[in-house]
Amino acid sequence: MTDKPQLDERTRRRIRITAAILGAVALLIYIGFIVEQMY
Amino acid sequence: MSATTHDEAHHADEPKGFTRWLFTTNHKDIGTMYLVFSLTMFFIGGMMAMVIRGELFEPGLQLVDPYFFNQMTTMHALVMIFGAVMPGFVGLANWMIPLMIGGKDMALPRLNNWSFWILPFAFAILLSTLFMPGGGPAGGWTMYPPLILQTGMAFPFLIFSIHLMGISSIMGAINVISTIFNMRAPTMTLMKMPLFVWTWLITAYLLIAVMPVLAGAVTMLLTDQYFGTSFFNAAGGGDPVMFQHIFWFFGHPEVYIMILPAFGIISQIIPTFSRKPLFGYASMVYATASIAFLSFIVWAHHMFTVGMPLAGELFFMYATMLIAVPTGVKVFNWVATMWRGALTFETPMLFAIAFVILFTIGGFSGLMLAITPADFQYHDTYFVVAHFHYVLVTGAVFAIIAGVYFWLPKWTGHMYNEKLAKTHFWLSTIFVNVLFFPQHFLGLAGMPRRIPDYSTQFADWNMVSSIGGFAFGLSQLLFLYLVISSIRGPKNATARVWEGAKGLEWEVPSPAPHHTFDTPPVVE
Repeated sequence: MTDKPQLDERTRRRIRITAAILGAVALLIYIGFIVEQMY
Repeated sequence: MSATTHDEAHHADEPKGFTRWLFTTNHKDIGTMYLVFSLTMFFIGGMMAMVIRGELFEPGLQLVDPYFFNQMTTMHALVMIFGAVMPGFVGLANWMIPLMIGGKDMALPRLNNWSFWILPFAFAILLSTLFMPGGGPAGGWTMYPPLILQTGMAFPFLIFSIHLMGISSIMGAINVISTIFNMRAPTMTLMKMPLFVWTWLITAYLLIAVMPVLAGAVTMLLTDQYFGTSFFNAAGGGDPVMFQHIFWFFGHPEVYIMILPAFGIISQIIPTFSRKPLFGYASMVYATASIAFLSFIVWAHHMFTVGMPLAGELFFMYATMLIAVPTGVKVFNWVATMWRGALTFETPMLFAIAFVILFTIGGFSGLMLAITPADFQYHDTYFVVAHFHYVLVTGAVFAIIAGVYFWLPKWTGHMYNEKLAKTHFWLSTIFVNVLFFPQHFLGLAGMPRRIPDYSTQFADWNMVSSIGGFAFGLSQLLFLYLVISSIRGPKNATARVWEGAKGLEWEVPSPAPHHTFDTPPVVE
């Protein structure tokens, strides 16, 4: 059902790394703010 | 050799009906869904505004009981901020960023689909609270404890829907950044990117930095309510004011999340209708980045009256005033772009010029509010309401409308009715001022915000404001008509659409084909 653009492996890897880093940062901020408030 | 183009071949096996929209990974389809969703929420939030202005038409209690009035102010804000303005900009980003950078699509198409489809569920949950026993949340969109903890059955639904909106925004922001860094045409260097792309790149970083903060704040509200924690409960050793700090650490960058993409749209429109390149491109980029940085160090100007150390109040006052510098650079550059340009005044340009003037009024009243001793007088009055509506309605909403008129022929292939669109512009611009300008007077005279009844001394300007509100609301039906007629109209728009239009998005036909830039374009 999808018609995603066909990208080369290098670009796909770069996209995955970019998204993973940004997602991890967001998660870290979320958890960090709550943990910081516990102490 | 088959005469079928790639685009036609795609359409032949494309799912039809609802499944097309449910499963789509195409940035144009998803952009359209975001924009339709945003417009729907704009009218739902607008109806809530009509209830508010209806009740405030005269002193005394007329239409609704005070508790429902408070639900309306709370829900109006949540729906307009998270449902109308933010998805409106995300819709424009989805449609335009790949076209502007010469990319095939967004970098993460499935994530894109998911980002959108979370939203209808989030808002269905939020709006359903209005029909629950005890009604919807009524403690204000800022959700300050302990007041918000008095919300009844609606409370967990409010918190869950805020989490969903946050997840959607974060995923959208990850997608925007991944797209801009990985999907640009090889010759599209960062400093060749259109300003709309730049402002969205910076906005996406803001979203990733602050949406988790909001999520953290509301998670802590949830655990305070149901799991016995005392993050914000003074009786248990917590601090309710800490919530305000955390909330506004999110809330102030959020203001810029709603205005930086607007700056980007205006920076596309003004050069087009001035037939000149944007004045001071690099300074625009640096000004945007400066505003984004400063947005993190000004949050406590929303809470001067909570009792802060003098040094804190001074710091936040001066830091806030500092934002006027990069903002002034932007306004100067827009005016300098128009200076001696071959100006024409089509509807997008009219909205853009109105944006520059009226947003600046909102900016000036913001400077007044930044002055700590003066803020003690203005705090929680209608002056604040007037200020942020100038920034968000004549700022963000006018920019979205300007962007829609600017790119609508590219999306639909149909040139909208310019005469009717100009009528929409003049009605909107006149009545938005009738609606919000008197609220400055009311605030300076001491009328508090978030009240359903008021002293008779405020009656006249409230009546004027309400008349402006009803007329502004009705004028938007004209916008709806123009958008629908453009979707249904014949395909008569050229690829370039506007004489002065420059950029990759104007190289593709109108309407833009389902797939664009299978081969990366070359940027001059």
